[in-house]
Amino acid sequence: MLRYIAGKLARTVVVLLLVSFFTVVLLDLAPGDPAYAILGADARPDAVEAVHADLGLDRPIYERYADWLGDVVRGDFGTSYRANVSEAARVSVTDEITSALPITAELVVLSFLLALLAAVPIGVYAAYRKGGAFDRAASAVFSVLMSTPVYVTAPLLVFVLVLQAGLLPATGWVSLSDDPLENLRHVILPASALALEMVPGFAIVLRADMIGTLNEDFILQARAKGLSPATVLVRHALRPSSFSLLTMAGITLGKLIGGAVIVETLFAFPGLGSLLLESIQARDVNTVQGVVMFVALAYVLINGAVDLAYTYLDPRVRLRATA
Amino acid sequence: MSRVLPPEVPSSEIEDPSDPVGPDEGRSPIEEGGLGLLTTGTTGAGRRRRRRVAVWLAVGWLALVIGTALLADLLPLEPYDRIVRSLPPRSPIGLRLDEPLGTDGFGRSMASRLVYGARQSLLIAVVAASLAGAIGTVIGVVTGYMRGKVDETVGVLLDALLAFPALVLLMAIASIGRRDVTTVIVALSVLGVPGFARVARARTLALAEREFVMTARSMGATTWRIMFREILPNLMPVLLSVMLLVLAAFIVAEGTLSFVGLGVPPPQPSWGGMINEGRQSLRVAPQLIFTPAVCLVLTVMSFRVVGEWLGDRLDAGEGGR
Repeated sequence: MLRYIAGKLARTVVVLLLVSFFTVVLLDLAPGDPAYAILGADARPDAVEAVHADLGLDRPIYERYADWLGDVVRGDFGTSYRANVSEAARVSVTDEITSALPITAELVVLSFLLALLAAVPIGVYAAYRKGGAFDRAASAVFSVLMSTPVYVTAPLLVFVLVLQAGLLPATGWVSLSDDPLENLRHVILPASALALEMVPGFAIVLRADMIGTLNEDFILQARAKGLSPATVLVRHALRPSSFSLLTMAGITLGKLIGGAVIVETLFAFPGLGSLLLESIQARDVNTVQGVVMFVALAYVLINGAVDLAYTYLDPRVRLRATA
Repeated sequence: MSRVLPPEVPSSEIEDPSDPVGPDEGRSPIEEGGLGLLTTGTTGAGRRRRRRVAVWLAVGWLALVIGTALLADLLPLEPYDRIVRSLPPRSPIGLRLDEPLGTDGFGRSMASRLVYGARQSLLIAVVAASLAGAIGTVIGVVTGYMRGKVDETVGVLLDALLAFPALVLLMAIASIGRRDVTTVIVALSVLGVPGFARVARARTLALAEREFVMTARSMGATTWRIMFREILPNLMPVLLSVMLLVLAAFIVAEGTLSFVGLGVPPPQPSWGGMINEGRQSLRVAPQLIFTPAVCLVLTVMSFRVVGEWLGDRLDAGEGGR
């Protein structure tokens, strides 16, 4: 078991190193000079060179990467040099990430919860009444939802709920600590748009596993004991049916950052997605590196956590792993 | 020697837990559990009939879209980048017979932009999916057949590629090149490679154990010949169904790139670009965003319906011998 975990960890570290190196190379290949992005297009050559030396851009790429890596190991992600020439005015990447993270985290967690809240009952009921009217209607709606990208869902929701019904504000961000209610009113629509994309996947996977579980002997036994269908479904069948859902949820959570970029752009949220987009456009290598590393790390950790959660949900996995 | 054998391995044996488009996930919601074991005969038949109708509708829509995109130059359309003088900007749908879909914010013909946009979106998706498919398949077959060090090294590389959030990778690559169609195609191709490689590798692992491969090997066939004349033809059907799903994903992804300002540059229309531009007039002229959006959703859905149907037929053929 320890060997297995050690192997996984080693692989994770290699993957993260590769991800960070890819990012450096990609941004190095990108046209456009960060010095001109900082100083403006009519910068004097000596000023440009000064910025290059300052940012280390005059050194070869592997040297810069090694330096960056050395700093990261010590917990220093460097400073963002977007549109700030003077050393004192620069913000550290860690600060940038920590100020953007709560916004993205709230958006992602809320949409995730909304998706599960909708998907679990739908999946369970569709499995319970397999082939029935509800099941068929759900699968038809899902096939439309799965083909509707978030950049279509979001304007549609805005059109219906904001422009037609006037229920919610259109864009902007209000922090949770300033005004919890207003915060919810701003975040609920973007989160719903993200959630709608996840619901079909979750519900379909849960339904499929649930159908399998409902054919098991222990379900028959529970029913024979005279337990109500609701008790059987929720207390007996749900847990052993949630493995694929868990995997899918883990993968989806990692991918959500992509959806978050679009939604944050659409609704003008100053989250990680906006930060990333902004810094890619400004060739702000340090910030891009920091955000990408952070996202990749989160993705890898979430998948690791999912692996561990298996052993909690299904003791058989635990036995197999130790055997 | 290179005959395409009916697959003999039950689909459960060739499932790879890391396979993103594995038999389980690729299966459609409609046919899930529909192997006829538990459903009564009538609902099964009814379901199959509904499915068939859906597939035919999807094929019909795709034929319409692809047909108009191919024949765009022959259709009686205004140029997509010029203002229609006789109509004011943002004319609504159905105002006139010769401009049934009205005009956009600049006064350009929506019908023309939709058709030329279809051409652009499809061209990007098809070329990128073919490139990704070709590269990914070769990688998958080679690593799956060779195993060992090559397999492990490439596996880690692909993992790294997958650990990148897709959009970040897309944005990073798209921001390197000039802002044109080629860059978008390259970015999407890179994004698609790991998926194809995983599917091809998983299937190759299973096929490599089969009798016809051993026969070929014992007859002295070269590794090259076994990989590309024996194994590859047997992968084609499954890769085709993956290809259709990837096409659907790429049409969506092209739109995403437009949203972050890295898509096809204006005035060339693409569906994603049109949706992005239409966003500004959501209040005054919602048809500008919803017309291309409906076309995009219908097309994506059609590719998925056909792709999943094909995947299910293959699975059924394998499992239900």
